[in-house]
Amino acid sequence: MPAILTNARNFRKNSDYPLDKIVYMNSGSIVVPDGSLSTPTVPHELTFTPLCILKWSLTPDFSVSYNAQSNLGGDLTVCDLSVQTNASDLVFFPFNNTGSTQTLYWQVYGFMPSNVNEDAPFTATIAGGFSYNSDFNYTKLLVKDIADVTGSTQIYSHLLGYRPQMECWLERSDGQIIYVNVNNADPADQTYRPIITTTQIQFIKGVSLGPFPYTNYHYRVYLDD
Amino acid sequence: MTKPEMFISTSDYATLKNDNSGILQLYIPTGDSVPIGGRTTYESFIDIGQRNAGLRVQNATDLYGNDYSPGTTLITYTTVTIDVFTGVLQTLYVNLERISPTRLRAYTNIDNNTGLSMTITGTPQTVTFDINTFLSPFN
Repeated sequence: MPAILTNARNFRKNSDYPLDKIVYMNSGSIVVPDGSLSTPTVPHELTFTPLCILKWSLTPDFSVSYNAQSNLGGDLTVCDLSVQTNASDLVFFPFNNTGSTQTLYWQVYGFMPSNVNEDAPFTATIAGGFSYNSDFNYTKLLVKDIADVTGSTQIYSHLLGYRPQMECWLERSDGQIIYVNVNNADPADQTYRPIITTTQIQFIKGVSLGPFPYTNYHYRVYLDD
Repeated sequence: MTKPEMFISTSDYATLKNDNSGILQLYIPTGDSVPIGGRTTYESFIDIGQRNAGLRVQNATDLYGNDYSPGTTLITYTTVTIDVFTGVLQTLYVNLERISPTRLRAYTNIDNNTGLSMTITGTPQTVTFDINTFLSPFN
């Protein structure tokens, strides 16, 4: 008998819902001169464009770390870092207005898009670790899909009765993929924005600026809240 | 190599493990002055998650109906009076950042580089960050 949907999140692991599998992991550092406008790249060596999530820090131990674009508008004398992915590379967008050269340390992990079913190198490499540990509650994937926003606003009805966790990326017409981490609250701003309620997710279509308009949202919705 | 999407779970790929969850709210009032050549900062804090835990965050402001969207940065607005000019729109970037291995800070800054007096006059608002942490696959 299949698990009741709204109770499935209470399971540490549930065979009715796949565990989210990380198919790409990489880390490194970027030396960023003050005021630099360069966009360094790192080949990801995958046969597809991964959906990546970035964490960065000013120290190699990541004791204080930031998500992508987490200092937006916060201070003129700060650093920031974001990453986009394309068919061959991670493309980094560092920002440094501190007055001196900074080293930004980064960690990136990525998922396979829902419209891809290809081989991927293994990422679980700790031979002495546990492949499954009952002490942990694993994130359980409800759905992974794509919302086309070349037309009207798309809606995914999850009907969970609570606001689930989700991750979201925007894909440009040139295939470059950007993690969604900034929310424009005012609808009058006409920005691309997913709105999450207890029953559905609305993938708001905004106004695209620049030569490569957005074509799709890539999204992953989890049973976990 | 294998096709990971064919498996419900597989020991060959790293996974994400839920760690903790919590709510952090930041109240942005009205009526405060922003010093000439200075800054007014609103901030709040929460201790949550294990060291270097990843963040999966949704944010919203009650000024715009508490519509939640994913992200650690929220762009919202207030208004200020600059000298005799009233109703001047002021963009607010409300960021969530990790300031220590287990402490998060939500904050927004309003800078006054006008050389004139500035007073915040917009409707007070509460920004909410709904936070989930998970163990980093790099740990």
